Amino acid sequence: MDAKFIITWLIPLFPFAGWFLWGLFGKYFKGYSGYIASSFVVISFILSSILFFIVSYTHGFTTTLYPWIHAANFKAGVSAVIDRLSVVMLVMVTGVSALVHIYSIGYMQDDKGFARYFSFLNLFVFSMIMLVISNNLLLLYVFWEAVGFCSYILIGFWYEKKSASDAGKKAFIVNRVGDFGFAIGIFLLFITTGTLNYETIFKMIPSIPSITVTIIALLLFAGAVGKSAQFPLHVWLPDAMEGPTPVSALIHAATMVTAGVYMIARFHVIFSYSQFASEVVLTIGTFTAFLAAFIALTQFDIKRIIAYSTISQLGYMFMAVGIGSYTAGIFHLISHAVFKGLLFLTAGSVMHGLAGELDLRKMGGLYSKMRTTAITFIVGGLALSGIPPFSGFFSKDAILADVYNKGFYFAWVIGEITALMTAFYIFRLIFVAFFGESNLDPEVHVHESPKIMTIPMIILASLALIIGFLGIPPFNNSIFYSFLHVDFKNAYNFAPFVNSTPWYILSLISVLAGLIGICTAYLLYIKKVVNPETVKNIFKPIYALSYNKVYIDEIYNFIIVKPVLGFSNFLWKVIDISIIDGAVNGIASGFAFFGVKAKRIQNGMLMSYILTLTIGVAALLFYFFIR
Amino acid sequence: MLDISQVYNINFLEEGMLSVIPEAIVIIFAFIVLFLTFFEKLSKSDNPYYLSLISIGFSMLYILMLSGRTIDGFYGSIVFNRFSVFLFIGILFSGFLTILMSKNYIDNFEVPLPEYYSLILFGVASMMLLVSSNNLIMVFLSIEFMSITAYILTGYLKGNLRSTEAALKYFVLGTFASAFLIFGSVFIYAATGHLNLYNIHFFIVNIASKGLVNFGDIKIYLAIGLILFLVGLAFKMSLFPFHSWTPDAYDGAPTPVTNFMATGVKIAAFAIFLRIFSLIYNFNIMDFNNILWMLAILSMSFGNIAALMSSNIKRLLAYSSIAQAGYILVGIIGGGYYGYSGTLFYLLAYVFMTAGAFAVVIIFENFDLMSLDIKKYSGIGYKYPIVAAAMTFFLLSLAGIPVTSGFMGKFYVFSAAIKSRYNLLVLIAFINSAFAAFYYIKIIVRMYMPDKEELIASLNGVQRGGMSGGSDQGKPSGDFGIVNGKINEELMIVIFICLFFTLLMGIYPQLFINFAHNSISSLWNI
Amino acid sequence: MSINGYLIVAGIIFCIGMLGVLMRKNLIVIFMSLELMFNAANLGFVAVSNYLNLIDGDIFVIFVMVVAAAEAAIALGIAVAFYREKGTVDIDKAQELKL
Repeated sequence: MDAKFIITWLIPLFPFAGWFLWGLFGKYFKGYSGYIASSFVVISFILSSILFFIVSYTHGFTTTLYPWIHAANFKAGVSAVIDRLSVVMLVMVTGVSALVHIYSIGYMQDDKGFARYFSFLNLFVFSMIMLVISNNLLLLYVFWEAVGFCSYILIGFWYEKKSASDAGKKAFIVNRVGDFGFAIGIFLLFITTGTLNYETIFKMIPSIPSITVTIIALLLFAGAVGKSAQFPLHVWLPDAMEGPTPVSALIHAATMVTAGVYMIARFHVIFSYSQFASEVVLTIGTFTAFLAAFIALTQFDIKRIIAYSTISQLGYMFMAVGIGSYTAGIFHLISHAVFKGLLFLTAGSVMHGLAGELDLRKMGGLYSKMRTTAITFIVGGLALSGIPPFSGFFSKDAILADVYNKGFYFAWVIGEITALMTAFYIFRLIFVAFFGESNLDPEVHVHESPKIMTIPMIILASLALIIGFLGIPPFNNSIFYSFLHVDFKNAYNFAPFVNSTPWYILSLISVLAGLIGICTAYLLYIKKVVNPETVKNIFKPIYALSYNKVYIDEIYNFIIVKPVLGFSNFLWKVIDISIIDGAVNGIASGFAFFGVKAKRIQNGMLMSYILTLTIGVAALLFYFFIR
Repeated sequence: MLDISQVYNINFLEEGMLSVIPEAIVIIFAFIVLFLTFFEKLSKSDNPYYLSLISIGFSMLYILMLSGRTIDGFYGSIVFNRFSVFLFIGILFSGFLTILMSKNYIDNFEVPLPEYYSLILFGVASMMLLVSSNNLIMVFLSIEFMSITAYILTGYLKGNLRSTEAALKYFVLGTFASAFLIFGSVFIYAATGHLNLYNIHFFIVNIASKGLVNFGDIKIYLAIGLILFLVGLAFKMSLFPFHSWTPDAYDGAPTPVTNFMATGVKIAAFAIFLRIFSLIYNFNIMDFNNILWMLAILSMSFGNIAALMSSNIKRLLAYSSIAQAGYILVGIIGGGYYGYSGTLFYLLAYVFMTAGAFAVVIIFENFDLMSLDIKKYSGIGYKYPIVAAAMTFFLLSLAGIPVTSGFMGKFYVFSAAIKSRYNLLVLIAFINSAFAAFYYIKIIVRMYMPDKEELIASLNGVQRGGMSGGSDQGKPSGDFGIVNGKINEELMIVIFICLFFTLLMGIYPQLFINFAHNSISSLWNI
Repeated sequence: MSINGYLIVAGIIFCIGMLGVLMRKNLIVIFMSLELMFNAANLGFVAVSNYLNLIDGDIFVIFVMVVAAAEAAIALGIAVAFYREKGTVDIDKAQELKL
């Protein structure tokens, strides 16, 4: 029972206790649950910071709460691996969570599910902390599912609203696809190595046939694709914006959705051993970054724009881990958590001031009315666009520079184009919402949010300004890199540097891309050099493509949902089934065919039951005598 | 000449009786409860209920006192050892939880109470006898004893067509299967000349060592005998294709009885199968493992597909119990020390998660058949958060999601099978359980993310039940488990016990798996 | 002398009982067929017991007879209950529980 043990396990304990308290006794605490819940998370944050310093000045360690499973030659404990990677994540998770908790007190003030909200939010923080510190795949999987569960529940928090409930279900079903792959991947890993402990697995990786490693890596990546909303499973994240905005900030921007990136960074030994898998990660990441930014260009719902931007930025992170630049990926993860959390909180503040209005077309001229919100939002927007000295510049540039210098030119070009589009869509949002003429509903009384909401925003905005400087001096000399790269020293160097283009040239290009985007937005929406409507008409097909989210939902509907439903419909009509009503939902109906067979066996006739039994006996006897 | 003192010396009375004391206590109390019928005053109140609970407690106490000992009773027909102790505890818990959840349920129907509780106690006693029997006569007798109580309990709701029909089907099929069991015993007896399991074991070890070829007739007898015997046991374990009674009997029976059948009967049947398998079947002379392999896969696939299609929660749990039987069988096939102890662990875990789920079913059940539809569970996550959270854990446990006992059970069972190189079997089982998660989680999704229409319907349903109940000739109104918006205490106790063990076995399984290891080591031929 | 003949006869009786259960619709006849199956087993036990010069087979038979009697009581009870509900003992009328 040394100090490290106590500090480590106190970090998850506080949010866990919070979940328990508000879940069971929420109604006795009334409004206080928000303050106590926030203070619990703040304590976790302070402890995480202490742990951060312990690890920075000494070295990482593993600590076991208790041995969980102990079977034959397999061991899995409830143990934490505390190294630099996990403390960085811990500080980020608890820090952003603490700010979001405080913000939520103001945001959720009048909601009748106040205690329920904080109970699930605390459960989420607990699960996320455990996910980050777990040292075996079993524990990771448990909390992987647990954060997902919190996410579905909180998306559908306003369950009386049909769209919220549906969005929760959609997130759940889409994630099932990825998690199924993830589970199979873990299972394969268990079969091949006989253990689930990270350290042991990493040592055994070179002795496993590379094809197996590739399959395992791809299956694990499937989980990441689901959780981190990458193409083709990204469709749930925009819908997830039905949840309360602080939830979007915490779960769907800063923490949970980055779990996929964290997982790949954690399993860098596996991924870097399989070049093919890493290339798949890079490809998916690049494509998603581009696709999501493209869709974000034309959306009108401000939360959805930011959601697509999250998907796009996650794409950048996957690009980074796909080329083996794990530190760059984690750096962007951290800086993105800060500025994206900021953007969501400010968007929430806008909603708060506008009585829940989300449509960009019904805003305008908000700058004068909610100054703090506007300024912090612009800080977030600049960070997202990659304009120095904001954090996004340093982190995104680190990724793009590595992509270029490792010789993935095509990905680099896409990345720069995406950066341009990113700057454009976020400043389109800023210019239309905060400047320009007001299209506000005159009924709405616009007001700045209370202090309890603006202070977290201001803290995040200042962080967005400061945190980037961890990225200097550029490349492999930066503070952040030298801090973190010791954790990745076991990675196989499958993508060596081929160029050594100086950083300032690459940075210049990135900044230029960002500035071009901003200027275009400025010319279109402030100066009105060209009417946006004309631009829209010129690029009509492309506009329609972007506006309709590249029709991906429709495509899924067409190739998956429809055929499954159609097939069962066919069965319904052609083969005599009058019994499956109600049970038909999604994948379930794909089993309708077997289901009918099953129901034939179970038809209620005693005679046929006896017959089944007798046939069973005969089959067994037959098996013996032909053998 | 029979010398009484000699009989005494071979410990017939002293030690032999000791081997059945836990059962004897339950049976004595069962008779006492039964005799309460003669005294109208005593039987009207809750006396039978409390007496039954006390008897289970006493029996448990004796088991704890005797635990660690191995006692051969009745000339080797009954063996009380640590293996029995583990399963006794499971069976007694099953009985205890059943009695707790019966209180509220049975009061809703106009049926005699003392007989009901005494039948449950007889059932518990018969299961305990079955677990510790070591002789084909004892196996047959206790299986029949258990079945007869189960038939009566299934049809206990007098005047209820579904209950009667379930009893009818269960009876015909059960007796049919018993006939196979006993006919199989004839052939085993003809082949080996023994009825004691240990003697049969020695005989088979003997011929297995000499090679089977030289034993013309004996080989055929043994094959027929073992197969027919297996059929009889597989019926009780509800393995496909001997499962067909399960959904109908579970559906029609009173829900506490369904729970009793799903937990008690299953655990007892698996226990005796485990004992017999380890002694007799587990020799490479006739590759029974292949047969079990197929039965396991068929059971889990059929169970899961059928459960996916059901919308009646009792039937869904019935099909799921068929699938669970398939998973449990994987442990027996995996075999060895770890496989068997994993099986025991799974059985115990299964008792708690199933009993918990049935307790939740009882809460929301009422005289309307639609109350068993899974639509009924829409939105209960917000109306009854604690019950819904508990149900979530039970369902997750049945689905085998980590931190619950069900996951640990599957983990032990599957890893034992992997250890014995049944990789394909485990892969199929794994995919099966991944698909199975779908229908369990379907209910959880309903609880927390209801469809709006269903939510309204379920809210209306509650109100309608409350109002129409008054005019319906004095029948209690509304859901069985909810009185004035508050959930019945006994059911809450059941749910808390089950939740406690489901989580404890998932979070700290070491305690239980060590116990299971310990029990298994008293089995022969490990 | 071989035991085969006895066991074959027992097997034939068992099969007749089995077919009776399978083919008949009348509940009472089904119960009778079930009894026949039990009695086939009894015949086998007695024969084997006699052939091997052992006694436990005979003991088994007595127990089986007891159990069969108990089951007959249950069976008739269920049959009566079913008849009260449905007015018939045709098992095809037991169609309430299905799917």
